Amino acid sequence: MEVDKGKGEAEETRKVAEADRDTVTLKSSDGKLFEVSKEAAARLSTVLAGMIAGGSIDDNGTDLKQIGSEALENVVDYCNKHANSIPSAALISSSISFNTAPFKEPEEWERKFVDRLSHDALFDLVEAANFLGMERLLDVTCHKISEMMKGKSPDQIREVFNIKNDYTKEELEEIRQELAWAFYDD
Amino acid sequence: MAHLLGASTSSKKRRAGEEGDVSEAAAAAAGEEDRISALPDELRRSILTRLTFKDAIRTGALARGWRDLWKTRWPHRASVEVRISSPDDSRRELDALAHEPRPRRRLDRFSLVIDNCMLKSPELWGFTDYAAECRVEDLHVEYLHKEARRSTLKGKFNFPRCSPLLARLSLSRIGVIGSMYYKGARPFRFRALEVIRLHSVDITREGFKNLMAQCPSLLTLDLRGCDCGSLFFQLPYESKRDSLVMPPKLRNVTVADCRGFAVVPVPSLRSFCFRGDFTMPPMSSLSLPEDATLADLYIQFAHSAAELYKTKMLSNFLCLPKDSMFSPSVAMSSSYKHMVGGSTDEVKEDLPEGDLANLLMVKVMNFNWRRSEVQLVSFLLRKASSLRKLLIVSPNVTPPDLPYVEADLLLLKEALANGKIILSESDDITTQPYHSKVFIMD
Repeated sequence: MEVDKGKGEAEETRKVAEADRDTVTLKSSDGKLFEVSKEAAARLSTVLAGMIAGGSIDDNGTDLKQIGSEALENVVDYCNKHANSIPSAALISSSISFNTAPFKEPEEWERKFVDRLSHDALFDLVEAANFLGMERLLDVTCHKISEMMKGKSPDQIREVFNIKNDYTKEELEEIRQELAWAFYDD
Repeated sequence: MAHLLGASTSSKKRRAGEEGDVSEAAAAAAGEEDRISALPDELRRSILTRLTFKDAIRTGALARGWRDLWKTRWPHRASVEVRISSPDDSRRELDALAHEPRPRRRLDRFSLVIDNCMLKSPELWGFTDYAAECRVEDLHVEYLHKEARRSTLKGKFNFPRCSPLLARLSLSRIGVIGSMYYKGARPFRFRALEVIRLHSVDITREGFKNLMAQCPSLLTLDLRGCDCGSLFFQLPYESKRDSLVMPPKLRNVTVADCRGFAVVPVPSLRSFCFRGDFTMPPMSSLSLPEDATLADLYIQFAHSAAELYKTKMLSNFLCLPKDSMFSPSVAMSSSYKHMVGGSTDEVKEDLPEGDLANLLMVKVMNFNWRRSEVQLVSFLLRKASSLRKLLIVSPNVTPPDLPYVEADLLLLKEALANGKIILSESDDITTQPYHSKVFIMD
């Protein structure tokens, strides 16, 4: 009933044990297991870094109850890709406080990485990145979402994101008049 | 690449083979879900910081949960107003700003209000330079003292440095905009500038020309109480090289209570609002380009002594060049105080056929049943073949007993009966979407 891919528990445990040295096993809310480089996980996620440092990593799969398997797969995928293709300098500059510094633009591969996601998968990934304290992945996903809003009218944005307009006509008019210049071209 | 190691053996409810159905159903349901509004405020703010200030403001109109979020998009104070009432104020403020850490904070808005004192150019530049370093997006400079007009900054108001993100520039009573050039200024310096609003500013032709040449993205030009001189006037002897070139995307032009000539040679014009004397330029010499696709036209006549012969001018104006795509919407607020007497044939005289074929919507305000007004409405009913609605705001909803031309009145009554004309005593919600507030002074 619970077995998904027909792999035995013993085999799983052995695999996990083999990988124990340089990888971490993460378990999604729906019980799937994913393996990720310990170094990348610690570098990209403050939460995982804390867990690794604090010894609260479970060899049989660390429970991440807030994250579904699809999102976790994307997180792990991102970490592994990141480990392979990003010089660490990019990471350092991305962590400069965004009070002042411009955001570091996503790399080409990061852009592709989020572009292929469905609407829901993108939001699942934002939430997962937020939960895991993954600043760089948050940058990339928030950038993608902002791209979906840029230059659009409020009507168009509502349509893209299924936002329900709960304003009265009068309230909306008041908002538009308050800073009319921003609404000139609607 | 992610390694799928298989399902856990813990007591999950999910059954084998069901995964596809479940996720498809979830996706369909989630497609209707508002995921973005469900994000924590902190994440939504972070998303908003990646938008331009203008786009961020517009998110306030999405839904109640978004109304004020953009105002706190930066963790620091991003809207700053500095008020200067004395030279000491100026020195103190400049000193404080200079000591702020670098790189500078991002600023959405910087407002400098100079209250009843004078500021030397280098001091003024101290503030505008600071705003530029903060990559400000909305910059406002205003003199409160009326005397400042014409005298204080004559020929000197320019920007040695400009924020690359500046989207809106609002100047009030700053004196004269002469040359906007500064030593070594590049063309297209105001690359992101979309809105210029000048209030009680005197503008030289040269300064205006330079400004326009530096604003390739300008969408909106709003001139109020300005002395325009011969601002938009195309001098016949001008060589092509010297002539005024308007930004290619300029869509909205407002000219309210301005003095001087203002012709609008703007092919991209979509919306034109005018308040002032109808007999004076720009109205008397307004030349809309033949290919203009004007969507909104708002004319509010001032207290002027418009005589009847000017009605002809209005007719000519409304007729526009042949083949012009004219106007889903026209609003007029008229006083017509002096438009009495004279021949009623005068309106009809010069009217070419079919030129208002694209006019969809007209709103006439302050309609007082004067003969010329009835005549105008009748004219519109006859000429605007596609007209869907004619909104009339009038203190009297029934015509007084005056000697109208019978045919005009009949036409008007017929249109009232079949609902084409909506006659209203107040400018209420049914008519408000059309221009009612364009002249609010903000």
